[in-house]
Amino acid sequence: MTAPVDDAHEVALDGPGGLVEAAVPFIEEGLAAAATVVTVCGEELTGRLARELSAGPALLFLPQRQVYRDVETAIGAYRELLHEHGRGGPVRVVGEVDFGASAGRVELAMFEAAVATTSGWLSARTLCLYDRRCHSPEALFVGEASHAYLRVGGERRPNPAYRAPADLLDARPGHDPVDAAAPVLTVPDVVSTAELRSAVRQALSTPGTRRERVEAFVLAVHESVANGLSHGSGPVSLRLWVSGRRVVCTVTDRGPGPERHALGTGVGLSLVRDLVDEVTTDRGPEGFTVRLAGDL
Amino acid sequence: MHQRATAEHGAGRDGHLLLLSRSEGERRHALASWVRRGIERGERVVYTQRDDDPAGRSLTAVLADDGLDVSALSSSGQLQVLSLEEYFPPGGHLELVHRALDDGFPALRLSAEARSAVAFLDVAEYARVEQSLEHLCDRYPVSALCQYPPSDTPSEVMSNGFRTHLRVREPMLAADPQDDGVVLSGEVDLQNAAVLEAVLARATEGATDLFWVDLSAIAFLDVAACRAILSGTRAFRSEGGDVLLQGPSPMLARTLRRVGLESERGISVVEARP
Repeated sequence: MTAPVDDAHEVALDGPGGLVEAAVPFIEEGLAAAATVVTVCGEELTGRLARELSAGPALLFLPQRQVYRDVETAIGAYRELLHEHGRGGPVRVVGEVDFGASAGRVELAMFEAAVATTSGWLSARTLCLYDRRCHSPEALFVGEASHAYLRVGGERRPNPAYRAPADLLDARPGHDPVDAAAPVLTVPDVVSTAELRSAVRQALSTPGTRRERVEAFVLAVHESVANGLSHGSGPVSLRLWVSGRRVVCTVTDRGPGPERHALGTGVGLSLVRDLVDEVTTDRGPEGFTVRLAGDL
Repeated sequence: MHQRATAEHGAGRDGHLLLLSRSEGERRHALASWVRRGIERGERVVYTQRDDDPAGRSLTAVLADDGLDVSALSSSGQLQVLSLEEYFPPGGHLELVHRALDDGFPALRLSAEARSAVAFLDVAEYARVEQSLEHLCDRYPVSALCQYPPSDTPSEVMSNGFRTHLRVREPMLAADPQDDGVVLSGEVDLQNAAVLEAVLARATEGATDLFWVDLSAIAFLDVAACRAILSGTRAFRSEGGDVLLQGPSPMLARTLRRVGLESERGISVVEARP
């Protein structure tokens, strides 16, 4: 495990009661250290915190929407917040993370990485709150793994589940319950793309799947393989998992993968992102892997 | 009004076909079914091959593998394997056509591999023979399956092949040009996009203002295929020509839109045939 480096960034994952229990000591410690403390939480949590602590010049309760809209604006809004309130001295932020459906696993990991970095640079401390009732298992996984420290019942401790931002962004497949099982299709070395498509199509065409969704997924798999064959180094391999309507597919070539900045700029890969809900990439010892996941 | 190509030319002849196979297995499969179609129609099939080819590559081996009774077909004169000299007579293939008709066959089928031909003829001579075959197949009851496996065919011979054949058969793709248009069927992706590009470049050469590409029998197109459509028609479009992509399935139409084909100069997509 990577040693925690960004100790400015911690998380609590709980119901509202547990989150208040975690946040109150964090706020009190900050006030005692003469910091300005800003909370950016939903109405319920803001109300509960305001009953425990009284607002003043050093403690501000801001509405959640001030930061949490979509990931891109949130990163900017968060930085402005730290600049504005951290001018006079140390600053602490308590943020209740909620992007609704607008952020997937990758977006959320990017946001948390940006918050960790910004907090560190500006000598701020941030406590992120995840209401367990409101998030998908995938969002909770990212929320937990993206923080070096955990708050449990008000106590701060190193987070054993922590993963450095780069690791988390390129998170290895395997956290999906679907791809923990044996694949329904394994192709160690793709030779004919036409034959591969027909094998994938056949594996996906189970009762209850929509033909249009199957064809979109087949095209996305094909373009990922085409990228590996044209730009990566062979052999290109594929694994496909299906469970009910949920589908996960990994395509691996032996190359180093595209430049990180080039990701998503090629027509092929942007088409893939258009066609499939979740697209993640990973560089590992076996090469460059594109992982596609979605519901049919 | 454009005439649709009859499905697999069921009623008519196969015409002058350029066969592009990616493996020996694909070549044998395509050759065997082409021969079988002729035999079933009572046509004469004439073939030639190199003397130095391994026995397993010969027509006899290919047909025997496919379950045809080669010796019966040979003794009845329906199947003839000629030497290269006999297959390429100085006066051209017309001689073989007349002989087949005189022997009472309704039509003639001719087939050879390009690599065999260029062992006997020089490259330019072979291109002339192919050119005359294209005319012969138009005017006489003749079909020809010209085998140009890309991995075994020199590039100059290959590009002549595209120049001298309008109809192309590839394992995944069939292309049948007509007046100012081409009917495509099958699938096009990165592994056969070069074929589509060559077909379009050749077919648009003689086109006037408008060239149509019938996509209604295309089941799959990828990004590489979209690029091939652009590059294969680029010369025609740069001279003011318009390309009409007709009848794509809704899924295909979405791919074309996502890749941004319609925003290219001289390309329009019509989802239903006018």
